[in-house]
Amino acid sequence: MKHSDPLKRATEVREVGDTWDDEQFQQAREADLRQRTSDARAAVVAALTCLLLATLLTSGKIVEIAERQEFGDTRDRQLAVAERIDRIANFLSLNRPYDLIQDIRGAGDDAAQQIDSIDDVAEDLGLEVVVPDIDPVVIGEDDGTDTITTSSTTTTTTTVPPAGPLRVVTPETPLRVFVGGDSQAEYLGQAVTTESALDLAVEVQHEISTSLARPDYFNWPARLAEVVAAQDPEAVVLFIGANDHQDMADAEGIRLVEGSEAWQVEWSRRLAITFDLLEAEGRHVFWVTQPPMRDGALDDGIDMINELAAAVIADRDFVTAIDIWPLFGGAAGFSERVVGPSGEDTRARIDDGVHLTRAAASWVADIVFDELDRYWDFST
Amino acid sequence: MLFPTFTFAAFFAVVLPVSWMLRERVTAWKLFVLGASYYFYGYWDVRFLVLLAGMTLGNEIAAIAIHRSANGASRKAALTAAVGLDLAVLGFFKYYDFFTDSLDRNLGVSSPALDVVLPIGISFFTFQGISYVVDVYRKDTPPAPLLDFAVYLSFFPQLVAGPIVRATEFLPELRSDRVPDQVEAGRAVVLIGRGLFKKVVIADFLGRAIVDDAFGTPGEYGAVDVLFGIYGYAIQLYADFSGYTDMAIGIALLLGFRFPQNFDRPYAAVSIQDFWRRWHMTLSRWLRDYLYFPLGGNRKGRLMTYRNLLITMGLGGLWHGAAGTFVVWGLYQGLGMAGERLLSDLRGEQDTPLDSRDVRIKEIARLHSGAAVDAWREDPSSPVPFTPLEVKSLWLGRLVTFHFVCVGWVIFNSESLSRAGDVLWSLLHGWNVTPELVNPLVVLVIVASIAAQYVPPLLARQWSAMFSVVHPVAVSVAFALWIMVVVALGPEGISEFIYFQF
Repeated sequence: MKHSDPLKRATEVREVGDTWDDEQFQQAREADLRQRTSDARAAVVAALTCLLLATLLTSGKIVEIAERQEFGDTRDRQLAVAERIDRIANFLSLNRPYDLIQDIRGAGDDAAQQIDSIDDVAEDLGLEVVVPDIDPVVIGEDDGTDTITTSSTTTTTTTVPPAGPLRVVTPETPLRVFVGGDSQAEYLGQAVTTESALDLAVEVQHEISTSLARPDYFNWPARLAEVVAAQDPEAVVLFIGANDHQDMADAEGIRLVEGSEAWQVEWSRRLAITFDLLEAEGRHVFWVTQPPMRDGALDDGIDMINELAAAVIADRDFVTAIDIWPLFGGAAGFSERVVGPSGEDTRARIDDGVHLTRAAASWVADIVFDELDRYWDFST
Repeated sequence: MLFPTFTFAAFFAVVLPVSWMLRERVTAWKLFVLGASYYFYGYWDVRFLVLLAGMTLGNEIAAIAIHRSANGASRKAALTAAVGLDLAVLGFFKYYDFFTDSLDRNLGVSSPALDVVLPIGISFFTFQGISYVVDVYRKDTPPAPLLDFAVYLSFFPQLVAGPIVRATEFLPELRSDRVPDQVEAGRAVVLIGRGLFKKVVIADFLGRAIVDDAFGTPGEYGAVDVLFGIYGYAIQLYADFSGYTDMAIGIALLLGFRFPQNFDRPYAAVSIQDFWRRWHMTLSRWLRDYLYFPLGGNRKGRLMTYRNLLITMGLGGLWHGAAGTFVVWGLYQGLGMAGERLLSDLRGEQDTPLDSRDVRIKEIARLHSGAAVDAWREDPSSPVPFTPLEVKSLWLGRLVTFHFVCVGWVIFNSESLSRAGDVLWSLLHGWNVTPELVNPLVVLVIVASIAAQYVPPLLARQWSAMFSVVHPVAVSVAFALWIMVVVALGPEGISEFIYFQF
């Protein structure tokens, strides 16, 4: 053999006639095995040491994950453990390399991830924060009759379009549209971008798992303030709410239990701030309501959110609600398949019982186009 | 519970030492691993544990009935019942809505809408259950004790996304002593480290940077963006799925079990047949052994061979998901393989054994890659495991195969054929549009990932060997730093594995 290394011997292409007998193969294999394997005790100790060290090195991420949990005892416990780990890592400076890489990447630099409080956004913009006067909704007692005032079975508006169009849209000056929201906004945004015959310049931002309940994770008002400053959209389409089925903390950090009166007031206040920071001449906001959900508790939460949103929108003539709740089952409840606007029975929801299919998102986009057509003149 | 999460790390930090501590108490170890695996699976949804337990019991009863049956007819009846039950369960959970939709749409037959929730990993453990009863029927293995079979079906490293381990591979390992001084820790470190990087960094980066947009709104982008979006999806899917199975194999190695390889640098394949020997290898051989061969394989003439390829790949496509696009994708692959075989038949190429002493073949073997070729290199007296194409044909074959596969991925990743058509149509125009999605980093990641397919497996082995001789503390520190880098470069949160839906 040319090589003394059994691993090389075992894998090198050999010359014609250079074949091994069984004993040579056996020896090579055993030598190879000795080289490749370790003692179980050493492997377990190494694995546990590695996990411990990795935990300390990534303590910042562990705290971040714990903070994102839904409010509750589990989060409190996880956060307490995570913060202890982070303190040890900080003491030993083991979290520095992770932070350094994050800094180089610029991760978490945008306002939506840096500003934890919606009130801070309102204060920065000089918005007057008004506590909405709401009639508390009783979760689970929705009878399907108290939806936003309906003009048809599929779409609803709370506002009357202006006497004249907000402006004439031309191919040279397309309407600036921003579509934003949680994961539900992905397909809707894509449909609005690609399926319109109108002259639109569309920007889309969908952020998975985001909500108004958890600005500490992603602060939509802060993000929208940036969008307004940078893009000055004329039409803002928001599809948010499916992740709001959770407790939240108020400005003082007090936990508000989902569905409680305090929660409803706070959520409505956050929605009001979100709308008010978008108010501007020539701009209109479209709030897409939530469809029925398969999970009963989530469905109850969605009913409440839809009702609270309706109350907030009722006071704002620059906001239009696009009510898709009846389109996807309404009072009859969740259904994976529904009869679409063209009369065809179509799969409207994906397997998780939450998200719309692409086909269903197209229906919603069509409603959005109709609404845009009511507010702007696309006749040229 | 996903592998690259802190929850799993905590789970594994308990399971690994306890598993080795119980090594000599075999029954206690099996009960412990069974409990851990059920905890792992129940973490998603406790209700599905009933399904898993039911599948275990049903297949075990059938296997015993097959084994005890004296005559062929009753053995066959028991086998039919077991396979029928497995397919019925799989069909109900995975295809009920698809079939009722199809019936309604095509024949106007309405069925009750049940909104069935798909249990994670059902396709994988169903196929393992079928392979077990078939192997018992074929007398490849006797029925295992219930506890052994339950551990086999639920073993957490491979439970939710494979590899599809056969009973004849796993049960002997379960019966034999796990040798405590022969843990392939070095290979495990390489596999887990590589898998983490592929899944958390590569797959998620490409998804966010180019694939989601290029497939979501292809009409908005020029041809260059869409082309790189398709390449990006090919890499994303590979990195996602092979990354998961790398981790699964590595975790199993640390527990003392060897799983079969599931991916072998598939984008270096020289033909479609070669691709399927390298991509999701455990599914390919399952389909070959339990579907293609029973259909007759290539033993019944050319036309029947083509038919069998189409049926096998069409059903393989359907296995991936309840949608017409998956069936079309499977048939597309089947047509490709049948086309290759037709060309081969027209050229008069025979499946004759080749003389391994032929110097030309040896030279070409250097350019070939793959586990089969490596095995042949170790024992050149065995049949040559590839068709010795000319060197230039080899590269042409790789180029054509890669692009054939990429077109297939467009169908695979599209909700409908019309959307797949939109994506492909976008390639036909807009070549002068300035790319919006393609940037140097995207190109670098795609090119480097494709180039990595040509790295000889010897290098990975040498890395594994190196890790085995380095002091464990040094390995721990190096691997912990690697995890830190992966976590820091990864996205906010971890997206679901693409293959979980299958």
